[in-house]
Amino acid sequence: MNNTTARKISAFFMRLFTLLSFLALLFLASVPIQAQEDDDDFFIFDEEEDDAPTMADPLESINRVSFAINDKLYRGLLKPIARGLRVFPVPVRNSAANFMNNLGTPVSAMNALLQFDLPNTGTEISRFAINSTLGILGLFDPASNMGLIRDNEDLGQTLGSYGVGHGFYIVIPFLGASSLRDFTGRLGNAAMNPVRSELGDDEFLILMLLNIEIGLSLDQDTYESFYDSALDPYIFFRSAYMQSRAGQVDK
Amino acid sequence: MSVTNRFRALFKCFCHGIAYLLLAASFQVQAQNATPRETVETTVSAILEILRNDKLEREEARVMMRAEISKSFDARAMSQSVLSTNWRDASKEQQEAFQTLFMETLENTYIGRIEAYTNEEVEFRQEEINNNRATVNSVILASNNEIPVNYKLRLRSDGWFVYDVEVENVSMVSSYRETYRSVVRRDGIDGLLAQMREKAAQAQEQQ
Repeated sequence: MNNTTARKISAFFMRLFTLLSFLALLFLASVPIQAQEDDDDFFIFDEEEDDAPTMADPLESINRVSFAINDKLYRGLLKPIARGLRVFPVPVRNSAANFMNNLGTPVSAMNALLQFDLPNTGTEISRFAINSTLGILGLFDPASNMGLIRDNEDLGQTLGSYGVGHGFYIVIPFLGASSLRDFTGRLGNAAMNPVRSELGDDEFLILMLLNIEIGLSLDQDTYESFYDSALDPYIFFRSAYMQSRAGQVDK
Repeated sequence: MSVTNRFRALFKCFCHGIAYLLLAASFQVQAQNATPRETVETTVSAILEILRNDKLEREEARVMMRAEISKSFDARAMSQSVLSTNWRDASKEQQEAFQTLFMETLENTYIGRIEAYTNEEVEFRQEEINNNRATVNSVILASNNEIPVNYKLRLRSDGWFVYDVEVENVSMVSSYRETYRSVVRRDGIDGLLAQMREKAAQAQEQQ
């Protein structure tokens, strides 16, 4: 064997090696892509996913009428007013919202206590004390910056924490989605609110409406975006209401 | 050139080959090692970056955002989960049609929601991994409150993929599932597909 043949052979092997390692690179890189079709029917048999509790809705036909009325009311009245409120700069509206939230804190604290949630009771009381003083009558929310995060509790959640079920779904004209439990809670909440007994019913109602309007003016069309994308908005919002309340009660 | 030299050259080449292999292996490991949180964070930041780029046309931006979503959302798992027991009764063609239409709906809603909060900060918090499922918690720091957005992911052999998004405790998949179930009960799967097509056409017109 002379030198040139040996060189040729070794050169051939070098190329072969390089080629093989490139192929290996390609192969390894393509492995993840090939494996995409595995456990194809994973979700169908996942009964747990499908067992999401649904709310009884014996009044569906009446509720649908209220839902349609509320939709008109929202688009024709509440939303235009909220848009009008946008002439006020965001910090002003934030302060207004903070002020209302602060007025609601005592009721929230009472409910936290009724739920035997002592840490949250402490948080809500501290929030009220700090924001009413340092936060200038609640216009600012320095408590949040101190790590005291707002976790609003209402009587509906309190009843839920006792294991009281929703009963059934109701859409109330003007007030929106609720359930037998949550609507009862709402009435109770208003009854136990010191602000209402201080101000009187009419003024309290105006304050509540203003609170809703300010919230809407700060919101970014959440309602519209889901309403427009849902095939049956009534069912979409019923499901969303139930999930959101269940999440609040679980907390 | 001596024989030892030739062997040395051959050995060097062999080493290169090993290096290539290691490189390839490390790429693969890296792809699988993206944690659920990293997966979600990458997608959300990519989408926000596209939204904040004023130079892009709206349509162009939508196409790019769709591409980002398809990289980390598990379209098939979501469609199965949303259609639930009706998925089994649907034919292959119906399944495919549904998957396309549903992803379109979801992308429009999801992108629309992110679009509304383009200027707000998104903060990623903890991730919770439970076998092959994971939850990533994030919040949108809106001007007056924090909006919690949770992503549910599942582990496939090629990494973590999102199969549900929960905004303020409301799961997209569950809400659509309940809606579609009632439509299928009334109008059948073909009826559902027809209504979804109609809705998609409406959305197209509005844009």
